[in-house]
Amino acid sequence: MSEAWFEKKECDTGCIISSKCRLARNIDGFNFSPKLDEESARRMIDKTVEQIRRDPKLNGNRFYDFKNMSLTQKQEMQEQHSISNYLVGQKEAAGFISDDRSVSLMINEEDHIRIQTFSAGAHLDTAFKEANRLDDELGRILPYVYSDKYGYLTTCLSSTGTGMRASYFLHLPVLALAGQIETVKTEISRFNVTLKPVTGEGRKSPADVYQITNTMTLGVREEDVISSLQKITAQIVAQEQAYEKQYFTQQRDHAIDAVWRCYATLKFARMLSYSDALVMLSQIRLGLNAGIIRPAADNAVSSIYALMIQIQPASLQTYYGKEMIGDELEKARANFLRTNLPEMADAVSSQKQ
Amino acid sequence: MLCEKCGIREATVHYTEVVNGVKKEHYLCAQCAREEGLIPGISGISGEDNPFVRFLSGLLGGAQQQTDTSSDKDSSITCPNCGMTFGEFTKIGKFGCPECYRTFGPLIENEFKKFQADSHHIGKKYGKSIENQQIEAVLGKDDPAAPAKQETSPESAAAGEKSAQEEGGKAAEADEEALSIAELEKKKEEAVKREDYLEAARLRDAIRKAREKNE
Repeated sequence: MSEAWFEKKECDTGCIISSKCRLARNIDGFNFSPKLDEESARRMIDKTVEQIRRDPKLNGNRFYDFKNMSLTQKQEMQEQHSISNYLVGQKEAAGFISDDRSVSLMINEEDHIRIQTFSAGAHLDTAFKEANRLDDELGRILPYVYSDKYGYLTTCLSSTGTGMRASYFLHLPVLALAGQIETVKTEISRFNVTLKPVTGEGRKSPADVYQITNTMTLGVREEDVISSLQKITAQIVAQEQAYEKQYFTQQRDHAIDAVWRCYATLKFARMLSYSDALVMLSQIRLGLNAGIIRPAADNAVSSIYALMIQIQPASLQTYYGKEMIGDELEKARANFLRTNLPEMADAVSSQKQ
Repeated sequence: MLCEKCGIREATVHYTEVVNGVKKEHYLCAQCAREEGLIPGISGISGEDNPFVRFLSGLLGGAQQQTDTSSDKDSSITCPNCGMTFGEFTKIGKFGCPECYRTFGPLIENEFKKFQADSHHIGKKYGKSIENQQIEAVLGKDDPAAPAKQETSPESAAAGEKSAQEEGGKAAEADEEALSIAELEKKKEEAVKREDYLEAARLRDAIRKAREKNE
């Protein structure tokens, strides 16, 4: 399989890890998910898959069907953002996915069809164009339900209209450290966007990775939503950068020490919990961006964000080819990071030389 | 009366929940109501996977609270296709099928406007790329590429006025030939009233054509 989007170097540059676009569509002749029984869902899936397979433009992507998959396989896809949490919970589901996992088509999600595209770095336009292109192609071969008044009819009325959710994955370590995330959330809510943690569980993100997303889909144009999201995100990024500058000036010694301590732990620990590892990887990413550390070799593989993805339970189990829980999983995680975290060199002293 | 949830603060929110035709009265304090998502607040619209469900139930619940007499009647309204009731719909915030939009759409027009920009779609149209759509909007063309399905879409019956004119196309134009100039004028005025200038312009041309024919 080719390099995944999340392994690309662009994921490590600046505050914006990646851009994402999702479109929700439903097919005529079938009820929506709340009123769709498993038997009808299977018919809907089979019909859709058959249509897509006939289309040479769409057939290049890898096909998957839940009926031939283990729970770990599904969870690994979810950990890589290839499929949603909702889909993992479905008994009947199938889809198509591109080799670099940047394009994913989910069938029998909350809506019949979910088109999802990722792009490493700040390339929301690219992600949107790709989703839109796929949507045009699918719309030609599948009968979508659409109304002139409401636009694309979706299961949840929070998606009605464009069916589009555009987002950025943001790394905001110093805003989080300064306890500013809630303030940012409040500030941006009046612009019809939300901010929520991506990695970890609950409200706080141990990795300081947050997803900013539009909330409105009806009475708005896709391009306007994207442009407004870009503007708001630029302001959050500017705030994070200002806080980082202040942090590395006023608390310079402590800030540099924190980065190196995290690096040391990741390189030598024998057991690591998921959330501890995320906290430390967040510091590594911050250290790289702030010019505290740099990869010792130019050809260092994998991005820090890829490591954050790959240390999740299902991904580790697939990597080591065995089922693991508890301590065994923590040992495997530590082992994985010792091996795969690139060697880092001091970027501060090398600048002085 | 004290709040039924915390039992500490004074209940200030009176909320009538109607589920499957069964009416339940709730008395909550402002804080608990906010936690329940009945009052839109910061906590109600962030953090959750689908922030709108609770928010929406709150809004719709709020609407019922004000129109108590009609709520019983409304909540038992059932989608003829999938059997979803309005009560069920307000509880989960999800439609059961495309037909639900026609059934419940008119009941939630105001709520749509509260948390969406408008109750009318202005984004990408089905059957064409956004780029083509912009060009065609300028040219004032109708939608020949859209599949015939569109004519049976729930909207065509639900909010007839708008769809009728947009789906118009050649059939409508043929009908218009039979209409008198006065009738066309009336249609044009109606179009202007609802700010549908594209349709008004089309009717204006039709009137001009009819006049030329008469001369």
